[in-house]
Amino acid sequence: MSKTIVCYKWVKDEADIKVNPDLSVDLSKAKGKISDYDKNAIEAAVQAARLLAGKSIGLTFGTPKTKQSLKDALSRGLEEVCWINTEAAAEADGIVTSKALAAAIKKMDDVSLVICAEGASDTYARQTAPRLGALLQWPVITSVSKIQINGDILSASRKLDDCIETVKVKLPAVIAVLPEICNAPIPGLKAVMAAGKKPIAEYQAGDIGIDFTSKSQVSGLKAYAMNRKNIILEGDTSEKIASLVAALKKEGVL
Amino acid sequence: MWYMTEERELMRNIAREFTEQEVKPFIAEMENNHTYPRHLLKRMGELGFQGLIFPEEIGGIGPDWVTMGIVSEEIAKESNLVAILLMLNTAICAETIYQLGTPEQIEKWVKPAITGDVNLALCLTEPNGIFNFSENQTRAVLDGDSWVVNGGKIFTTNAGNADCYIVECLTSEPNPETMMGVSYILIPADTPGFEVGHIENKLGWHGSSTGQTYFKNCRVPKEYLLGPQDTVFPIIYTNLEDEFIMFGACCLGSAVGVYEKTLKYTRERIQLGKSMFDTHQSIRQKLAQMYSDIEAFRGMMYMTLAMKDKGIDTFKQAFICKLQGATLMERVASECIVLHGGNGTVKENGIERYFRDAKMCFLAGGSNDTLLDGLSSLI
Repeated sequence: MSKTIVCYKWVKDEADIKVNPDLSVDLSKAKGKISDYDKNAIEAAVQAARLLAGKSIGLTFGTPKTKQSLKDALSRGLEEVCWINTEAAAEADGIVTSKALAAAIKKMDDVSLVICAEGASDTYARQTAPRLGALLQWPVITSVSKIQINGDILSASRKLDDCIETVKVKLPAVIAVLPEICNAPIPGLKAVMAAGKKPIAEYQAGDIGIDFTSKSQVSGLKAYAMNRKNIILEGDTSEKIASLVAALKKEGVL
Repeated sequence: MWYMTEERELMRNIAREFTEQEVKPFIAEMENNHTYPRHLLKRMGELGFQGLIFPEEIGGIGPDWVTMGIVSEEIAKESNLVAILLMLNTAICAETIYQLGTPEQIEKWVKPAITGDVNLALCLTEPNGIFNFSENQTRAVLDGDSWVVNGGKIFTTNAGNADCYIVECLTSEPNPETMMGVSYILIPADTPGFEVGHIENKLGWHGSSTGQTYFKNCRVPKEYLLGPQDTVFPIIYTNLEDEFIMFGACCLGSAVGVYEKTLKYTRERIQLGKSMFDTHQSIRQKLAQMYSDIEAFRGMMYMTLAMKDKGIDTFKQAFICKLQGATLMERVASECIVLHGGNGTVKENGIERYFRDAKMCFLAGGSNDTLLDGLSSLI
């Protein structure tokens, strides 16, 4: 049976992140959640699996705390989840994450489609889908806002800066979807109860067989302070433009 | 928390998502235009919130009163009113029909209430009050195979937005000593002779439709009698238990909601390079006192809900839940307005609304003074 895999990430809830007056970031009280964009990707996977008459499976790479996400993901319509459980995930960079996900995908048969969100709501690094495609040697489509599936041909609309590009690929493929791919419905309480009965596969670091050492490291984390000047430019359009250029020069931007 | 499980955490998160995405954006419409949130009641049915206290055989997912408390608390953090309307439809109205109704009545009114397709209302209060029923004017007379109802009620919540009204009527000569003479009659909204009168413009709970309902020769089949004839008044009193408990959960949620907003505000408002929270000991102490009061009441609240789930009598605790809940919410909301300074009084900032809604919780469904009287007879 055809499998549609959706990769999702367990992130800190930004609503719980405290920024101190010195712009240091306090994550100590932040609870976890499935990245908001990943919720749309999960729904896209559920819909795609239906079109492929197959099964939708969630795949996540995370620390033991990620266990909290499994039933949540299952309550959103997925039929199974697969969890790569290792403390190494806390320090993993884009390449380690992609290698771990690719290794887990290679263990599964009949995978037709892998869906990732364009980026995660914590770093929005946008690395996972392109790297996964390279590791699996499958075609990759990013910035996807709409998909159609006809047999083993996937047609995707890519939302680019200045146009909508339509791309067709033969499955299997990896796609990175934008939030507008579909709405992420709020699951009902009955779905939560049903989630407890769905299968969960768990891999430990040793089962994956990759080197989890990240080549990049986070050296510091600081909040961004937005200090607005609140300058209102007067006059007609040409005067406003001249004032804007003068103001930007004065600030050293130009 | 001792009452949380993995499943309940998820259900709380779903209530939080619903509140953030669907309730919060509608608050201004309810506040400014007094628009009734019918679509939110429907959504709470679809999501399963309305089925939490009912068993699976009639479409529910319970009974699970602790989870009902958790969901209500989460919604009430943003909107006390929406949580109260959930309580009204489920713990008050649908529960009354479920406890007293025939299988046909449960099929017709409770099952669609669980899915959010039907809204219900309870018509108790008359101008002379609720509990002095012998002075009530609304009467039902059996005429052949029909009940004919005449009279009127005030302060009917969901007036004009309910599909069926549970109407307390005198069906024989009232006897205050034996509490005999009172029955419930179900009156569908489309019954000829049923009218909705003036909808009150209230201090709080903007968006609820609380108003007058009139019954002029309303004729319904005799099968629309709900529960026993003439002897329903003692049952009304005991049914209030569920209402009082859920009032407590709604008040707890709103107290937590306004407290959390205020804690965030005092931590983020910088004066002379430091936050209000870090600068002023008095502010920290006020917030710590609020937190202490909230957590103490949380213990009482969830102990009572857990007792209910275990089938332990909670009649006395129910009185305490409403009394303490409304008092807590009013006190916390009042303090939070002060901590926000002038901003606390600005309607758009959404802080003063908690105080207005607290006054509603204090008075609606049996005022705190009435409840103290009731509780005094139990101690």
